[in-house]
Amino acid sequence: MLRIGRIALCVRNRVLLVGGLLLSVTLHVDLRAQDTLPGVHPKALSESTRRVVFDNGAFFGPSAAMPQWDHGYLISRAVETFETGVPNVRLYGTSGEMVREAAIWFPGSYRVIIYSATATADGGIIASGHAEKPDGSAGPFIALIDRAGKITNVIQTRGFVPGKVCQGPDGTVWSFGGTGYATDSEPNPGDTLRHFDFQKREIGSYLPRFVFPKHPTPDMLAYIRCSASEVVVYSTTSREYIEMKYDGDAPHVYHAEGPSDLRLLGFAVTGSKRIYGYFSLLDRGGLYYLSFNEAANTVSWAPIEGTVGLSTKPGRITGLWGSDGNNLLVSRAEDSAGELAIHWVTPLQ
Amino acid sequence: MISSLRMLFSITWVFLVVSIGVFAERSFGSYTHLIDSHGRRIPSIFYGTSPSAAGAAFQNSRIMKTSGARARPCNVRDAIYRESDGLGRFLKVQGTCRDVHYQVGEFRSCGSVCGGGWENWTYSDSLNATWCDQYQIDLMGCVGQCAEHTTCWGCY
Repeated sequence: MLRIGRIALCVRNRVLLVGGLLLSVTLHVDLRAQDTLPGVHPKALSESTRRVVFDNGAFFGPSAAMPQWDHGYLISRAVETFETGVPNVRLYGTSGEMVREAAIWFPGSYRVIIYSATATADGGIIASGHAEKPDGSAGPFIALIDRAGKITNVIQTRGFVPGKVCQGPDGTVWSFGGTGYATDSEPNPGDTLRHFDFQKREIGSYLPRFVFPKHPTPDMLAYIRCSASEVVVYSTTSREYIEMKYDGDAPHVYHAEGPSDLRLLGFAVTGSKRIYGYFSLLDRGGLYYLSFNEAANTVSWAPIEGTVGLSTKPGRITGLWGSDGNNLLVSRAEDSAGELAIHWVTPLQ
Repeated sequence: MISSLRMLFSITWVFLVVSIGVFAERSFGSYTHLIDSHGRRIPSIFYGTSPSAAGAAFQNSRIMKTSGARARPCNVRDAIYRESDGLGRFLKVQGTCRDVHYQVGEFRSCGSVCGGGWENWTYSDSLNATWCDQYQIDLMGCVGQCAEHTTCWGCY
């Protein structure tokens, strides 16, 4: 009986040993496969090459949303405006001071909501939102504002709520948004990623609404960026990363889980497959990058060493505002000016 | 006499043309290229849109709030508006969804309040949210575990 027990123990140990070896080989192969995949694997961040302290108004104010950096400006927006002549989008230059503002308003409005705003390559503004009348009518729009603050072009996007916008290198506009809801709370049919030309019309539409969960709308707390060759979107609520080449026929959608206990509060793109996110909750957080595994068609957020942890500790990243070439624009824990001080840093390979 | 009349007529004509031009510029539309998504020129951003009971209710509730009107009892269906600024940091914390509808979430900076960091907040948007999109209060705001408002699904 004892002998049979020893044999059984021996067999179990050998099975465990072989299993362990197999697992080890599999893991090794996986890691090697990841090493050879395209994409970026930043190990750390450089020291700051530039530091600018921005005006308080870029970050704070009635219904002020988080600002973002684009085309050489920090863009600040007020979500709600209730009267004409009140600025709701402001641009701050590299000196940290406000250089331009726009009061986006439409005759007959009761309230104007600004969902998203970006700077154009020539220093103008593109903003998306909707205007409301006292009877509850709402006109969604994407507007182009010139350097003098004048609205020059508007596209009414009835049937599409243009949640986030960015401008492609050819001057056209990409928007990720919702389709609204029917009276039974079901999402209206339609596409979520749309392409507009101010001189023409809507020139493209992709990604039907039904591929996303019904609630909330997929553009809520989402991010969009237009780079040199593609438009990318991250939908925080559905955890989907979307890439659309400008010369492509259809977007590529990856599921990308983030750190489960943190929120995505900043998003930046420095090039193809070079995607960064700032995650935080309470006093913890830091900078992450998207790690691509093309073989498995998956991506995941991975931390950049030394930047993640208790947000009061020196070296930690406490904000991500956008990109400027290969640089990321971040806030650092050790800076006494807090998030008002934006640092230019480079991810190191 | 005739030449004087002609001059007066010309001056009046020029004045009228200039006045119409200035009025058109101020009233928006004439100088702005406003099109729909099919590329057709439209006269107003509201062209083709329909009145919405939810949107109108939002505005009524705000009018009542800002004007201090107490003329009628609170209708829960009307109570969809909440100010997007002025976060109630000292509100009693409740885990359940509150009866404020059509809420959409955003993030904003806490500044120097509650140790800095970030917080969630919500505003009313009947175009991109439903009756069941409400908000709740939690203690996950800013760095110091402060009260914040986050969206929640209020229908089960």
